[in-house]
Amino acid sequence: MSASYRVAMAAAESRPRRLSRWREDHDRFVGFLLLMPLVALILGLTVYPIGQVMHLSMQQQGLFSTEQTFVGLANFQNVLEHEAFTRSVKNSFTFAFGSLSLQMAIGLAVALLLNRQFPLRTPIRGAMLFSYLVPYVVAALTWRFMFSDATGILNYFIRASGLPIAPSPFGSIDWSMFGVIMVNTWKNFPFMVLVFLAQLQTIDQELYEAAAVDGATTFQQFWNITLPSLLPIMLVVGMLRTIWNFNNFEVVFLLTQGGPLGRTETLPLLIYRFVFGEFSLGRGAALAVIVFGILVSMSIVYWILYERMQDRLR
Amino acid sequence: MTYLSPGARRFEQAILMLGALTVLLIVLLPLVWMLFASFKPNTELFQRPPQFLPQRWTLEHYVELWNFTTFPRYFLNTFLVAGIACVLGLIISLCSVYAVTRFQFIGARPFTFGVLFIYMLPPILLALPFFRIWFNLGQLNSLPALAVTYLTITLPFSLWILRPYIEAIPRALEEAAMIDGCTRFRAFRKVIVPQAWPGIIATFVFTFVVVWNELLYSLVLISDEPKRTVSLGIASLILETSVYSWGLVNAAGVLATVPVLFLFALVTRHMVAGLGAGAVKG
Repeated sequence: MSASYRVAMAAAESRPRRLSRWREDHDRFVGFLLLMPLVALILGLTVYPIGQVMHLSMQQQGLFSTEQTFVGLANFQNVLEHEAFTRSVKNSFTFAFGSLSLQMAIGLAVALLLNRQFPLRTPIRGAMLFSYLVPYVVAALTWRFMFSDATGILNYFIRASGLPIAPSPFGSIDWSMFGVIMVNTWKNFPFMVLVFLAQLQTIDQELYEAAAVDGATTFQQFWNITLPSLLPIMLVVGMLRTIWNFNNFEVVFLLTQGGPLGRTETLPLLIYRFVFGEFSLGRGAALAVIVFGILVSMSIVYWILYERMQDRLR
Repeated sequence: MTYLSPGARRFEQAILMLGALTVLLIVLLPLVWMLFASFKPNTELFQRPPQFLPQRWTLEHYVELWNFTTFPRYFLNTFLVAGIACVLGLIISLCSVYAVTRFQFIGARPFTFGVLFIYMLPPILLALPFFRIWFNLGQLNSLPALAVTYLTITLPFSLWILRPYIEAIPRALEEAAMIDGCTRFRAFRKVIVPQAWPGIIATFVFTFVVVWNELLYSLVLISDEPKRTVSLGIASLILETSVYSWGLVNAAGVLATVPVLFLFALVTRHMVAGLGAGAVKG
């Protein structure tokens, strides 16, 4: 091979390889086509339904009828004055934040525990997720079964031990809210463990060693190293879980259906009752819009907290 | 770190393990209790005091569930609906994530990731208009309509899980293929899909499990008995009859749990296989 040929080859190779102009335009068009189905589906599956809810919230309409009458904000007024509304708002907040604080506390404790070295740690970590993975119906059925009057094992033990707890909490006026919060915590705390564990593993171990050398106690190490590094993620999952708890329909519906006497009727259940129990589409839609407003305001509060904390950590 | 004598160290480890096992017991006992109850004959279910293990193991509840209820049909329905919703969601999000990471469109990025916002919506808020939409189209009680509705769950989920996998694939890899004469589509099929395969499997499993576990949409949209999903079937057993056969319900619960745990066991193995490692050198 001649030297000049080699030089020519090298020059050709060093020239930036790019696609022709035509191919680039064609390419962008392909990219555009690839994105279209998503755009169409989002419009059809979220934007349109949300628009529908807004529209429905201002109509008077039966569930199975096609007749609509525009009633303005009458549905909203109707909902706000409904005897169950204030109670449901209270129930929803009790359920969401009661579950959240238990899930957080237990999740954090278990994550700290599982972050230590001990035999069988990996399989235990894996099996810990089981309650999070099973369907809500399964969680509900096994807890109902364990508390049921004729067959329940927990029911039996509570009766036999004489503890001052209702043997079937889901039917008890005083204990039903505690019961649904407990099952929701059992079901969802592994999610917290998962997230906290991942975050704990990013903390530099040398920090602890340096602190130990300086004579910091275990609690001081936790307070000054572990907790600050967990705080941002705690706020993020805190927000997610608050919203998910707030939106949760399955736990309460399957365990108590909002009863007894509305003691556990949260907002999603009230919407369900308005629409599918009382066949009033307009009222249900109005309440859904209100719930949406509550969620947006809660997200904004969390967002402000998150920003503030980021500033302070900086 | 503090230095402990070997004895103290072993003691500490034992305490830690004991603590972890206690938590694990709380997680697992309700499920194990359900499992054992599903093998107990009816007389033992009502026995007081209750026994932990069945004294006489029996499959009668499973036989009854399989032969005398509509549950086999529910399982088929759920596999079908979840399968369609997951595969569709996967294909659409694969295309969109690819498009967004490889081309520049104004507003495409915020749009695609704004889809995550759907997550924040109360499911009941969407269930309501969907009921109306499918009612107007005469598609209540239709499994395909249910599958399309489930796209509201599978799409954001798939986008969220797939994105890091696709973003991690070096552009040099497909550009090399295209310079060698591959079309964009062929490069996508031959380079991107195999590279993102672990992500695709993981996405499929996660979304499948979420749809498998879902109750609200099927509760609202399906009322025909033979068209129920597994979750709805169990929910109806729990809610509609006041004196239910616990053996039957527990057996149904066990069968509804098995696919979920199986799929997750599968995915842990797949995640380990780091397929893309070392594909581009230098």
